[in-house]
Amino acid sequence: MRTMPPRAVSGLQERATASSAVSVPSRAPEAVSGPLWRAREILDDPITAGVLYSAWSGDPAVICPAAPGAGKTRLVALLAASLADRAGLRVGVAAQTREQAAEIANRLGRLTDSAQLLWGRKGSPPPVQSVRVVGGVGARFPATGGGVIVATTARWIYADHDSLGCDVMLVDEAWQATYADLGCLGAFAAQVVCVGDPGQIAPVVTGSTTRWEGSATAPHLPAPTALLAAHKDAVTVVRLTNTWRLGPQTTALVQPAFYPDLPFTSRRPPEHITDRDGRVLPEITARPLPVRGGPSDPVLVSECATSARALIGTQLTTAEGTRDLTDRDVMVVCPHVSQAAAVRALLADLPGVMVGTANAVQGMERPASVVLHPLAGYRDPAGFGLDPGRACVMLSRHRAHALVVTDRATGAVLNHAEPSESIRIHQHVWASFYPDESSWDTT
Amino acid sequence: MSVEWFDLGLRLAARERGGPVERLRHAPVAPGAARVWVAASEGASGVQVRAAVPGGPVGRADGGECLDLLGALGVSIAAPEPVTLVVEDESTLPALVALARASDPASSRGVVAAHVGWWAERSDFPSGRAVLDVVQACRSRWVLGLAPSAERSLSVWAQGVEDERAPLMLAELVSAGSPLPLLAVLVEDELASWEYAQTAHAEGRDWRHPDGTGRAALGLRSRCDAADVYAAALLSDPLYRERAVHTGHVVIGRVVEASGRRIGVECARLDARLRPGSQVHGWVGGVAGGSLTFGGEVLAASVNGGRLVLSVAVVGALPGHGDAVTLHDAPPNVGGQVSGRSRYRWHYAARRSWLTTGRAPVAARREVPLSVLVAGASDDGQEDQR
Repeated sequence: MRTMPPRAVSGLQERATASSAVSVPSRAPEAVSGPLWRAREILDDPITAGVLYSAWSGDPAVICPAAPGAGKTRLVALLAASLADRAGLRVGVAAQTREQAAEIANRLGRLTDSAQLLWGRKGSPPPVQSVRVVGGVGARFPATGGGVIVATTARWIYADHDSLGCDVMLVDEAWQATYADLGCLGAFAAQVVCVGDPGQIAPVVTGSTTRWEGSATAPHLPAPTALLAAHKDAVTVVRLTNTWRLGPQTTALVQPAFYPDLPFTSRRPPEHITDRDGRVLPEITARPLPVRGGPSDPVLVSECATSARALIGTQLTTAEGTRDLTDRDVMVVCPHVSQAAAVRALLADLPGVMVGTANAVQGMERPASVVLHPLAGYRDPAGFGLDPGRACVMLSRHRAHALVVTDRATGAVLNHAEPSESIRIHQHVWASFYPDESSWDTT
Repeated sequence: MSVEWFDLGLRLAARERGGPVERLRHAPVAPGAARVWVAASEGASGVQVRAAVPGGPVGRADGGECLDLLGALGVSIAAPEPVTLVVEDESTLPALVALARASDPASSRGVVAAHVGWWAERSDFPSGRAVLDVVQACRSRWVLGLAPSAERSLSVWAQGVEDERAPLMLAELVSAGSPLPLLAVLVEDELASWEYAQTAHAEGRDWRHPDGTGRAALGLRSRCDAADVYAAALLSDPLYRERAVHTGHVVIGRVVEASGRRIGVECARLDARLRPGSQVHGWVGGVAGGSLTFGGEVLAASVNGGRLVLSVAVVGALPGHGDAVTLHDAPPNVGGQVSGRSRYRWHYAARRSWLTTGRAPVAARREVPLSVLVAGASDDGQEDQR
């Protein structure tokens, strides 16, 4: 049984009472009267229930910063289904990639009968079941009651905000959407809910942004960041403060380094990997190598491949029992496409090992990962390798074990670099890997 | 071979030859337009400017008179055609913008200042039609037998030229020959933006005003579209493609499977940037080019026996089993880009949302069942920013 803090209850009640007197929605929602709806598990967790409350009660903007592995996609699906089936609202969901849109649609298909996936006619059909796939012309919200339409942000931009106008727009992976795109989505709904991971790689913008340098509300910024800067007084922030993927050791490293404003806790059930000698592998560890040939030095990719290979056949222990780790349980993450390609070649006989760049593996997880440090091989730290978002993605894909392959010289490179926030973050991470580095022989 | 080795090879070839080696066969700069070279520096009495047009003498001015000098050289928003600003460094344009911002819009300098404002906005666009940094343009077209950092100086490109108007000569050189094919698209956009700026000036709108939400959003979209077109323009250059093979942007391979309109391409390298879902342009033949061209979409990518195999659904000419093929990302659909910008404009112009107008939102409250309120009440992660 859960005991609710009295202060929090009264606070919410005050908001509900005061807010209900403010105004009425433009279209009265037809709420389902009964307490049963398939997504009702959203009420089981006070944080997700809080998001539902904020959106349902009419907060114009709700931002949900989430830790890695906090269950963002689950929240989006539960929230959309609840708002549609329980609150009777028309809900738009904007995903940032076609894969994410299909994933949300699949989850929604299990939670509600009212979901549709808006999908372009070009290209391959979406890999979805139990959800209606519609083209631009066929997409409509139900004439009465609630409904959900899922599409990519790019697809929404080509949709008609008059015929597909909705009550609430949920933006998944919102830190990968630009503020400019959020404005377009705003034409569809007076309410937005932004769910995403603030520590990851910023939106990919190919054009120059120098015109808006220094602006806190620049169009290329991650949508929630600029939204908070522009409309702080109108924004409700609900933090998803539990990670179900990262263990305590990784959380202790990643949270202070990359999420200073988002304290979060590991709720992952105990998991570990035991090597062939019976030793329990640390949750996250690093291995220094002498690197003289730059980022493409073969020693780096060889070590990644060898380490990934060595993990296969070790024992994974979870709450469900113990089993052999297979190639499908292992991921190798590299900063550069060429490095990933080389590792992929070295592991060609293990096709199940996922090998990719940070951008490619964003949002994915495996029990074990091998990470090629983004500054390995560099003697002059550059923007690409220093990007904290990239490092954060790379260090937060694993559940039970991560091995970070590093360049012995990186610590000295960081110490001689011009101080900056990115350098500070990397130094923090480096110091946690190598607290006794000063004793190294660096010759 | 890595791209670093490829670049080093070009540099060594330039050193051996004792002259520049081409990176591009086409000109990376759009032709046409009148040009004015300007070099600004900080002097004791403020900003000092040297400026000239092709064939003309070098004029000098300082402070607010710099704008008068530019006006005398034909820089005016009221002129029928825009003038290309030729610079040799990154500091001249900001200095001119500072002068323009400080000028009186109602004075005769207002028309010059508005043109400078247009330069400032268009300097983010890559055609080189509004603002041409000759050193950057030379570096994109040629490589010298020097360390990369040495190439950032005008003097190495204008070696032996005593004339301070050397940037104008280099501008002529770097734009000689046929331009990259898609540059015409960027020029068209440039001219449309010039007309917009002229209209805005005629209607009394001040270019100094910061961008509103919609204008900034559309500006970003335009910049990204232009950057994507320019990236595709570079891929249409055969010399650029030689290098792009080593970055994974161009894929060479051989057809190892052919079934209906679907082919499997075994790639020569593993580091292809083409992914499932990528729209591709390809042809039968090597990286230099070929006659049988086709389009398509990458359906799957897999590694078989250490070789990357891309499964491609083909539209157009159908390569046969065993054919050597070259693939790269399909160029952006320019019509689609225009349509995308128009949708953007339409969404923002609707002004139905506080997000598009930038105004503070007014909450439209709904009643919430007690069960939801109670379930969310113990959330200690929630924080109302109000």
